Amino acid sequence: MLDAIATATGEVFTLTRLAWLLAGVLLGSVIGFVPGIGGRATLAILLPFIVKMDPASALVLIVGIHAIGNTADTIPAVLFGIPGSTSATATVMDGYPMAKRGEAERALGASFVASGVGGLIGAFTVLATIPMIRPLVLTFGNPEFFMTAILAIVMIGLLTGGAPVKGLLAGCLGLLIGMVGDAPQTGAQRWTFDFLYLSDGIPLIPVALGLFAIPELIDMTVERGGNGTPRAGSVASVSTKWQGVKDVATHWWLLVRSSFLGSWIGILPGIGSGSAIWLAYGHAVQTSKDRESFGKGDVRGVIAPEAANNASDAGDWCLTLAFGIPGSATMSLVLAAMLLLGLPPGPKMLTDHLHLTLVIVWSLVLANLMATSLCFLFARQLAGITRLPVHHLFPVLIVLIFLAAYQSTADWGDLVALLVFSVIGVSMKRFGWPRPPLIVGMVLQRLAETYFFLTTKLYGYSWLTRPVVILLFALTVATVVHAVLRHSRQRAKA
Amino acid sequence: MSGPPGKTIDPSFWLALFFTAVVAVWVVTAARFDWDTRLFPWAIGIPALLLALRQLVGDWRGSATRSEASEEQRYRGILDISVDRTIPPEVITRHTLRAGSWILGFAAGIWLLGFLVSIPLFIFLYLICEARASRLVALAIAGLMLLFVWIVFDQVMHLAWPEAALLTLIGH
Repeated sequence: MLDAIATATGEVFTLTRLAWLLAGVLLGSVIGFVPGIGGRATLAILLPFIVKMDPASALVLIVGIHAIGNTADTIPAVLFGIPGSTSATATVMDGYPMAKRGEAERALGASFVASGVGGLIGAFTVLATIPMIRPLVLTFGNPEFFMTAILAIVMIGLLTGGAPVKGLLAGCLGLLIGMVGDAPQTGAQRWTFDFLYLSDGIPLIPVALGLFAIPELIDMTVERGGNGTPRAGSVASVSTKWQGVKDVATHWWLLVRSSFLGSWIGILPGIGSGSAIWLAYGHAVQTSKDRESFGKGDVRGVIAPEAANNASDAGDWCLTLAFGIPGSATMSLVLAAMLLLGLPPGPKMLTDHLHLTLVIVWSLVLANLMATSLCFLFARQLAGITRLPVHHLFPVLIVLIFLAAYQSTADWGDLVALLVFSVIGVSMKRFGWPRPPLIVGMVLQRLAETYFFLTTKLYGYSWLTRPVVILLFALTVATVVHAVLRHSRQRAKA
Repeated sequence: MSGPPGKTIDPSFWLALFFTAVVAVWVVTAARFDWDTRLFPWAIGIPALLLALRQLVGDWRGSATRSEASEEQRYRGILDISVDRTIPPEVITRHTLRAGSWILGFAAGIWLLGFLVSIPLFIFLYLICEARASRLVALAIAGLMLLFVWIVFDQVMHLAWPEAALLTLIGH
């Protein structure tokens, strides 16, 4: 292990590799800023060029692109309420309200620092647990994964307790919408109504953009008045990025907890950062006494998901390398790149090619530092965008949203899905239906169904007696009971 | 909007009704699938249908007591970005419909003329009509955006643009 660390350190800390890493970060930052495109598209574009490079340099470049993507996707989420990727959907919840009251710089500062520190904690956690990853992952079987997915949906659905039925129903709707298309086990088509577009399921990006981005953009035009100019005092900068740094220092314990949560989720196959961010957000809400401030611009709602997002990266990488199980769409491209480079993923990546795995961990550490520094440096300039008249921004952002949605599968269906879910998103926001559980349900649907099917086929009813399942089931029931009791108390008080 | 005598129906009821209908269709049509295919849809869909019915009944019954409460009180404690409920609902509706019309117009433009024609046209018209920008500024922003889209999406990403209905009709 020590030899491998020394070899990896020597391989990364050369001028050429550091230059490739910086190139990846810079390249990713140019495209990563565009909502819905991010690191995945950049990787896809670069794939033909990467195969001609030496494996270590190629991996370093890929890590650079990927790392900045996870940090930069926060920018549109905070400034306009447009999640740059599904990993930034939770940041919208409090980052955007902060920007609306003139604290964009503070929110960006906090998110960049939390991302950076989270990334470092995640990388070092994975480094420390590399010898244990295999047994650690194997403690979780199909039933445990299924119960984790259910717990995540229930937890997000019942988070603030203001409307538990609506929250749970939104989560179930997300699961049901996710089921459109081919069934993962049988391949049978479900609810496609003979539309070819629906046979692969409804892509997540048009749904996320429709649910979150369009309603926030419309509200932006409503809240800033008829002529679209900023209302007096509403978006004038009242904070600095350094305040965000102080916030992170103040809530350091939340940052550490969220980072460890993200690291753990990262090494669970298939769950990925799309769920880690919501679990961290849920954890921040549940452990706060003043949970009513969440959704109104609470900086803790920015710190927790951002830390978890970047922390889950290292685990996700190791899992892709060691087991060949990609935790996200971007990781599928990484997997393709590795195969093209002649590095078949598998347990050998933790033994014979351990130094290459450690090259990735080192690169993640450095890339997170570079990405955080770069974004932090320009936080003030980025925050300045919120002071532009909304009617100048609106058409440009609408165009970007349409393009981001369309590039999902390059089909008319993407635009139709965007419009349909925009109407649903606007209605849900206006009439007090929580949108996050719906998106979490969609993110987790395939995972939940696959593990549910395998669980029932392989274990019959005996899976219900497994200790971890019982623990997760008890946690799920406790979450429901707690939410129902709190809701009843709130109603009794009212 | 009136429901039971003397009651005003919470607009949330109509959304609950829509969701109930969607879940009901999902559950009923799932019966046609084989067992393995319908197992998970039913495992989620049936509890979801019960939840939807519970919400529907709750919204219907609660309408009278909640009709006098402000929107702020009605939708308290929802996990989502908070809505600025100080703005009168009719103003919100008017602005939403107006912005929605522009978005639909842009979508129709893409269908008729394609992305690369609709993008500058939409930006130019919006900036002139809504932002009251000068023609020069509107033209500059529209042109720059087109250039950005063309470089990134067309030249670099080689995005397959959808065929424009009007251009197809006239044989281009």
